[in-house]
Amino acid sequence: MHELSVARRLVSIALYEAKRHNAKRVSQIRLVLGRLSLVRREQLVFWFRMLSEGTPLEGAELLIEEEPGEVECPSCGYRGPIRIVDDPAWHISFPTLTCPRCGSTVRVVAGRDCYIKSLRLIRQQGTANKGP
Amino acid sequence: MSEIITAEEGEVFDIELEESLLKANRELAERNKALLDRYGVRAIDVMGSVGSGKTSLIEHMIRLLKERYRIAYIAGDLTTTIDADRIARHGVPVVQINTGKECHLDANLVAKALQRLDLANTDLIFIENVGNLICPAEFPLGAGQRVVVVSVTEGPYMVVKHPYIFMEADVAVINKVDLAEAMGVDVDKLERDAKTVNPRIKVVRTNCRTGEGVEGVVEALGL
Repeated sequence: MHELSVARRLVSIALYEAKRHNAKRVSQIRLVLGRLSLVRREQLVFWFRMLSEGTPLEGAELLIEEEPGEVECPSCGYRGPIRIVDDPAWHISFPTLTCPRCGSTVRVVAGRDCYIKSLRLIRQQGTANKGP
Repeated sequence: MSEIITAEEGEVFDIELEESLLKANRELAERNKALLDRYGVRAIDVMGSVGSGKTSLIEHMIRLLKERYRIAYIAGDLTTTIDADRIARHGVPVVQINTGKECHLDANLVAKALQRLDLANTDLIFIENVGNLICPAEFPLGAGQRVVVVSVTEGPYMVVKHPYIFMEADVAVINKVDLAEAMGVDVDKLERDAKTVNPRIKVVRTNCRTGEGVEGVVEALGL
């Protein structure tokens, strides 16, 4: 449900950047979506489409790259994928902060965020590229 | 802040941003935390489903702690003041946040609520989040500690179905343990699940109707 707030933020940043760079339109947005974030791709895309209607973002291609969950263990120095517990009895698999190597508590170092990586802008014809 | 990497005049160009969509809330949460630290106030974010027992737990904690701490309460609810009214009867300052349709409290709403409180004369704030086990995990508020309440009446899979909120929490409260047998829920298994998801989490069993076990929550929070 919170994808609406995330999509609002996405739209406001993209519109701000488009204006700042004197662009007519945004044709592509690259996003990185962490697998450990609670942002759902489908809902984010849906809200983005709704909110971008009638703006320079309308019709922009939304490329979403998923970032895997990565953790670091302060006890044994493990750094790598977060451990996923698969319980066949329940058909549920879930992530855990237990270190896959030594069993102590790990810290999440990647895959928790959702961020804009880049924007592709189309500048108005005949405008010089002045930069930011 | 941003860098133009390719540019064809009057044409198409890319800008790199690395701009987080979740950062705005996190930064505000850090600001709340700094404000609370400046006044020496401890804040506890209480999360959990609708009906899990968040308000009852807070009521019992207030009873146990109000002689030792000057307590305030921030209530998050979609539209009602039911919880806020219940807590107000204990004689502590209450700020109600009606989120309207939002499924969680965010750091901005809490910042506004903190402005209404006399922080210089407050030691401890309980922030009751909106009843929800998903969205609050994504929106830290700036509280020093986070508690998640689950009850056995929510069934045996609450922890494994909502691992993210248990990753974010310092204390997990398993409530309504008096009903475990009637519900056919294995409390030991729930506790093991919470420890599997987050080995650092402290698990406390309670019956918040009677107040049984609430001392354990107070202890787990170091209050």
